[in-house]
Amino acid sequence: MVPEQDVQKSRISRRSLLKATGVALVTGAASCTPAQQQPVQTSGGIALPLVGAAKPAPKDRSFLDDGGFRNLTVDGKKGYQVQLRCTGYRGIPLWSVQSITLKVDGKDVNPKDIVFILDGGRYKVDELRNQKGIQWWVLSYGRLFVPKADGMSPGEHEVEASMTYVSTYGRRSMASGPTGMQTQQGKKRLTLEADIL
Amino acid sequence: MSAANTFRQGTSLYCFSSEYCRFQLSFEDCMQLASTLGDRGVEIVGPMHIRSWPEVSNEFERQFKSSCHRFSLTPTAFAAYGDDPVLKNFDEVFEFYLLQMKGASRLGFPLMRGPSGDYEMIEKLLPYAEKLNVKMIFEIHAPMALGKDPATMELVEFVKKKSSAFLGFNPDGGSFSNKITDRLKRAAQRYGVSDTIINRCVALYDAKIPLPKALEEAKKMGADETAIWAVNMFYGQAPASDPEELKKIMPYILHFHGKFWTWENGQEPSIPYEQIVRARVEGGWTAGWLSTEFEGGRPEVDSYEVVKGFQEMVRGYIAKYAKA
Repeated sequence: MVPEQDVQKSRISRRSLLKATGVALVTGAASCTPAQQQPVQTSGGIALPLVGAAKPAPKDRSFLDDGGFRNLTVDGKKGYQVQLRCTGYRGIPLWSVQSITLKVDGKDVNPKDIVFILDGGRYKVDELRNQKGIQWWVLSYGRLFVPKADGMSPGEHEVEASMTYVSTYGRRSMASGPTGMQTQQGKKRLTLEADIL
Repeated sequence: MSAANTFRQGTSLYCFSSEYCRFQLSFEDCMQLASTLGDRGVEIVGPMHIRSWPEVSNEFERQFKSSCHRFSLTPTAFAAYGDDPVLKNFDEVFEFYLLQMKGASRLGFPLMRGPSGDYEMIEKLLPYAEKLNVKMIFEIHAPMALGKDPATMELVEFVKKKSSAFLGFNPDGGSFSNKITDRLKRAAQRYGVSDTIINRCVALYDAKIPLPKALEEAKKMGADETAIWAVNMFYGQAPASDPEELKKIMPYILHFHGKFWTWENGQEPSIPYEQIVRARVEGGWTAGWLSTEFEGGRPEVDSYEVVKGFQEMVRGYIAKYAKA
């Protein structure tokens, strides 16, 4: 750790930065020069603007995400995607995923058609359990891409997804449930989002 | 912030998981909030906060150190994990822990959660802990119970016997939980356990009937495998460690998790924090941090305010029991 005194000397509060940027914007000099960033002594954290600030609206935290249902092209193939979150607090290793099912408007999607996309990596659902050393980070979305030549039709669709995975906590623990396996599922009416160009 | 000659209070960024996972607070925001709480100690959860976990990327190292510098935060403990069932053999688990220990060391954490109960693993990791200057702390977490549960007693004996400066304990408030709360009942109901068995089990627990008897009675009532799991889970999640037991291991306590789930009238109703703080003040515990671990985040709750309230409660108890 840096000694406390040095920290005090070198601290540039967000507020002082905002001030400096504000001045710069007004005077049309948006690229701040070091001279405008005068360090301001704060009496500790209470002066930081984040405390008490209005929070942005929460994004969906559920397994089947409210957003991201749209048509897209992956590896030259047209199709649509559904977004998933892993719901625990610390993500899951990809190998733990045993099965994923997807239903759109009451019709089962063949799991063999689904491409699971995580951080750019593409996986067949039944190959997930062989993926050692890949972590599904808690803030990452897993995307289910389904090739479909004419894409998903616009408007509302009933989407249903489930995922069964091995709990990374031991059996008998509260988090693992009685079987040591966990299932997440979601069923929502989702509106197809506009294509991202 | 804290009275002289007592422990300091810090914050596990776990506290903000509701806002963090809903993209209302970034990692950086959480760091900033932690810097306005208690004595500015910060604990992070490896897999939750580090995208490159179990490794620490250069990018994260810089981000973390930069935040600590700007917000005057002190790294307290690094929550490591080793329970992935895919790691079947000893060497894999060892590598997994060592990787995390190197990361904790690079980030400047003096403590890392170690593999409770795996004595061979602890022995093998110990020289690395010394080299990397990261002490291994063993969480005494529900269902573990101080002074009652054989596995916990064995671990205590082990640490006392090794008597290494690089081994110690991290008791968790949940181990002192002494009520089967609605939160636990709901967990059992989710798996379809009948209210008759749940209510009977709660009555037996409240009457201090031991677990084997409760299991026996549940079986007589026709409990299936799921209901048996629930009975085990109830007793396991409310192990009711006696706070006075802390005094017996005081020199080995390097960290403490101020776990709580619900916040009602300025209290967590199932954990006797007044007795915990009292035992630790009276026991002369000055070495480590009490790191708040709020586990009840929900969109309608402002985690920051709740954590602040918890730390004020603890501060009040410190003031009450600490000699001036």
